[in-house]
Amino acid sequence: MSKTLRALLWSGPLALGIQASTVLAHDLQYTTSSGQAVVIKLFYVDNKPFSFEGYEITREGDKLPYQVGRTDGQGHIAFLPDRAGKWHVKAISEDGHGLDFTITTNAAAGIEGSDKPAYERYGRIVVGIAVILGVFGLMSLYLRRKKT
Amino acid sequence: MKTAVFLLASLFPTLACAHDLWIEREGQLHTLTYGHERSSHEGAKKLEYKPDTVKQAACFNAAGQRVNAESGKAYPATLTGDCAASWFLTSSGYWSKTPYGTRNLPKDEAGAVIDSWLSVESIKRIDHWNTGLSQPLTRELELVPLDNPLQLKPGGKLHLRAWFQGKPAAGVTVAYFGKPRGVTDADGKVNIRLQNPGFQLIQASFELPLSDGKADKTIHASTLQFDLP
Repeated sequence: MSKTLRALLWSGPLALGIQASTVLAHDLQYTTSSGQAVVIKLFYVDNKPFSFEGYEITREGDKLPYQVGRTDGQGHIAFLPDRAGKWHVKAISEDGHGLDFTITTNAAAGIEGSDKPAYERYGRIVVGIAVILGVFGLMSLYLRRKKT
Repeated sequence: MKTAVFLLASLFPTLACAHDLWIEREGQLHTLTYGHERSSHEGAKKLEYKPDTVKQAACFNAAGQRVNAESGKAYPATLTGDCAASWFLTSSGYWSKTPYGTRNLPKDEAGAVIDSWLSVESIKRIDHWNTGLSQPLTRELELVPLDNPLQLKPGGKLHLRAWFQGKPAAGVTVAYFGKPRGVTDADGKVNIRLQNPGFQLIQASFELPLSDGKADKTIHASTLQFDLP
């Protein structure tokens, strides 16, 4: 076998091998799983979803965002934190509507606090205060009438 | 009681930010300003706008008559004159909501479109009052106080009527610092309780169908601005 022929016979598989490894490196794979995520819903005061708008989530202290994307058709963001921490969420539409708030999560995507849940956390207290003030007002009115 | 009111207010932090128009005044110079969170503790965040979005500017005396004033057409748009009320009309043009975000394009140029609208927005600032200002000054959507708003105090009720094209406008949503507070009745009237001292911003908006092929509707928005003493 001539040297030229031998070289040609070797160069074929070698070239194929290189090509195969290049293809494999760019061959995108996927897996699926069900897991817990932080789900944020953005909506206008009339309950219209803030859909298909851009957002970014940045961990406190980091310069680069951890996640960027667009809200879905219902205004949702699904976010899987890789560690416990404070996360700054910023969403804005080109026509100037937006939100800017912070949430605190544990590493298992459990929410431990946020700007917004202040309303939810203190909602009962507010109702309680309103009820107490209302009862107090009615009592005062009743006592005044009784005196007169 | 003041402590209770403060406590209630502090439990509801304002997180949302929508774009606002307001007019800043220094003597006779009125400057149209655009930005966010004008009412929050962080103060104003001004954003630059294209000067060609400003379509009209006008200055009115307290009798409600238009008076001469000099308009500055570069950014920021200005109006120089002795105005009891100053007014700017803007339009940022056509907008289309697509799966790739909201685009400043008519629907026939934006691809897959979910919703589309033409934005028309005005702002009126009142600095001096007379009964002439209890009538509309323009034919655009306009919030008109029925009584002198400058004499009100925090907690006071502002009586308003919305006008459009020279007629009282029913079904107009009216907001106080971006938070909807009511809808105008059949006579165009609505009452708003002023909660904050100083700077006041009352906004109104409504939609009309549009059949120009470039958008599904026109969103008319109008802001009334004044200061409480």
